[in-house]
Amino acid sequence: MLEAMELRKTFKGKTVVDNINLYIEQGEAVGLLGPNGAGKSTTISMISSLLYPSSGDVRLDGRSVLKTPGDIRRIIGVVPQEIALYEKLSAYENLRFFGSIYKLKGKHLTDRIANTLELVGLTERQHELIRTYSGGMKRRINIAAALLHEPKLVIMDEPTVGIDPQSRNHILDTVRKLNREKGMSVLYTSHYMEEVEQLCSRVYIMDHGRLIASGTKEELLRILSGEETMIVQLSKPSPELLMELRGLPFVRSAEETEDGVKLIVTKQSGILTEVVQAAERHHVQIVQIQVHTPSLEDVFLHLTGRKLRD
Amino acid sequence: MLPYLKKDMLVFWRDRNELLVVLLVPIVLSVILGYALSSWIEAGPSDRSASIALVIEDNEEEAFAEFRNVIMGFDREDSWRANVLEDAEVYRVIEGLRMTFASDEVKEWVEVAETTGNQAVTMLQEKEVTAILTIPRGFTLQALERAWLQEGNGGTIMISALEHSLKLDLVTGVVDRYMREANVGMGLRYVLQDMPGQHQLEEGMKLQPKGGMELLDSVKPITSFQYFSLSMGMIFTVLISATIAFHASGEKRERVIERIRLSGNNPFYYLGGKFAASFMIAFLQLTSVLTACHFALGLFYGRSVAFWGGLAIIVIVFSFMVAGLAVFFTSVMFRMKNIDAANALFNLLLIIIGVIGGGFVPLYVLPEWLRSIGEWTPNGHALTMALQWIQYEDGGQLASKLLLLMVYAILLAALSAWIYPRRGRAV
Repeated sequence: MLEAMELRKTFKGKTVVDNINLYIEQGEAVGLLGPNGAGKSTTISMISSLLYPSSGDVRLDGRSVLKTPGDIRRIIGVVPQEIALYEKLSAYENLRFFGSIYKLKGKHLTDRIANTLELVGLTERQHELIRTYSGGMKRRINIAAALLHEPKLVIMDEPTVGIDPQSRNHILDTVRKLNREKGMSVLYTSHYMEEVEQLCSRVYIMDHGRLIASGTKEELLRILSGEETMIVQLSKPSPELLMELRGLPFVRSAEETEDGVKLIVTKQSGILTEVVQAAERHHVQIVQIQVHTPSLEDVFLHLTGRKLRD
Repeated sequence: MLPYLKKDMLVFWRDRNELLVVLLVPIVLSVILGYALSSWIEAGPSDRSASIALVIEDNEEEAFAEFRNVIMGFDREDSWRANVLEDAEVYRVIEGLRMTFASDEVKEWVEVAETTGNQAVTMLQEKEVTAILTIPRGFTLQALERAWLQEGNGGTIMISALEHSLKLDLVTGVVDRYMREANVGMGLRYVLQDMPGQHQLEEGMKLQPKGGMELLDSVKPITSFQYFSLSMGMIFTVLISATIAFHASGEKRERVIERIRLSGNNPFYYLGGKFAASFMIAFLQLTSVLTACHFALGLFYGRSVAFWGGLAIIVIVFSFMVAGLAVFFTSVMFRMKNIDAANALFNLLLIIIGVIGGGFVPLYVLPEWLRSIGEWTPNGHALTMALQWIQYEDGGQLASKLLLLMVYAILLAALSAWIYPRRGRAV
């Protein structure tokens, strides 16, 4: 359905997005993962025709849409990271305006407003001004505004940033509903790994403007198939212990957590003994050790050397 | 375009408190400045640079001798002849005008050089004088015949100048006032000699414009309230352009503009909506301020329907100009990366053109060079136009000035459409 080919964007000689290739099939939910500054928003802006790429192409059903942005604008709905709404207007007035500029009129417009309000669960508060809404409610109207014209593809740029868990769950439910019940394609960017794991069948991982991995969840997890994650809870923090653990041959990565260390280690025998001995050498008591198979978060850490929310 | 207009008007309506302040402040300032600076406006400029060349081609003694012959030729009783000649003798207009210019009140700010016609023209061309005041041959006799015999059209004094200016207005005002007083006197004398009683006095007052003399250009003085109501109303209306751009900067900051772009609408709809909203708000603002000031301060009582029509057209065209400026600022803001810097720049620019365009102080207190620039600013131009309309009600002059203001509006709107970014430049 939609394909981005070798997209590149340069600002003042600095390449912020480099050689991005991605595709989205009809009815598919695809995740775009990356830490802040990875280039996700720039990529989305180029795909949605808001930004002209320095090079590369965006194709809709095999046809380039770079020079005819209207073609792609008709079928996409973009949920920006910012609350792109008029604070001094009510939710209803906002939706009425955004629906009108998509040339929706009369009863059709009224019906679409009612449907999207119902979808995001804000029908009863539709006549209140946006500035009186909580962050989560604003985000839900932000999504509703992108759905009025019934797009085939919804591009969501971190739609759950800075909101309460209840609103977050509501938004995730909405996205699921759109994708699974209404058959909308979804391109979902986030730095919350668990959201992408829940919603998306395929994931692209970006860092420093480049795609560093892509595939289904299983394909990505296979990157760390010979490894496991070890979460060690310690009696007190010890930078010296962390240094020593990083130097051990079977440790692929080690990072400090709130109450200990998290290690990604190569699967082999004798690891536990070496970790315990190292702790003793630094007079640190091990309170608890958990060993489990790696998550996508661990894959990301492995690939980039940093956490998603760094 | 209609959804954009509705949305912008709704957003403005939600800022009712801000709107109220924007409406009240110019009214309050008009009252304060109108009282505080009335001497600046109504007494004219304090410098003594207003100067005129007085060319007297008429000979008053010859005129009176001739008038005597005319009167003596009438087949009337001797007492009537004696009365007319006695009354007419009192009204030596040229001498009276000389005395007016020599009076302490006038000579303080108008210098008069009595000279010949050719010399006066040279002085005018070399800008040594503001105007030439010519009393042509036959003036006195024509004035006397008109006043006492109701014959002819009366005498006409001519004022010649290279360009219109406030100094010229001052000189014209002095002569006009003198002529009116003289006309009233002559009119009364004429009527009282035939009709006894109170009725005569009333009839005499009605004859004021037929007293026997006419000034080519009649001027209505500007009151300080009129000046400041217009200047404050206009400067606060111009500020709407920056407010509109400020609202648009919010749309840019919050990325609402990207949502709008994604709708695939022609960007001119967006600008068109801003233009229409700015026009309507500017029109309402200026109309409200002038209406409120009119009723509160009695700005234009007794003026004709034509005058009000002209004023309405000025307000409409000025609002178009403000709308042009609003969309121009909006497009510039979208081009600039730093939104705060853009908003600061617009406000600074408006304050500068507000000052040099006579928004806060009368135009003539500014240095000549600054005033020349100020009269070319959209608000300065509109203010000058409105003041001239109050004074002269000259439709031809108004039309040419309105045309220029319209050109400003169209140019600004066209420039705005040209520079408005079609696709986002940065993320």
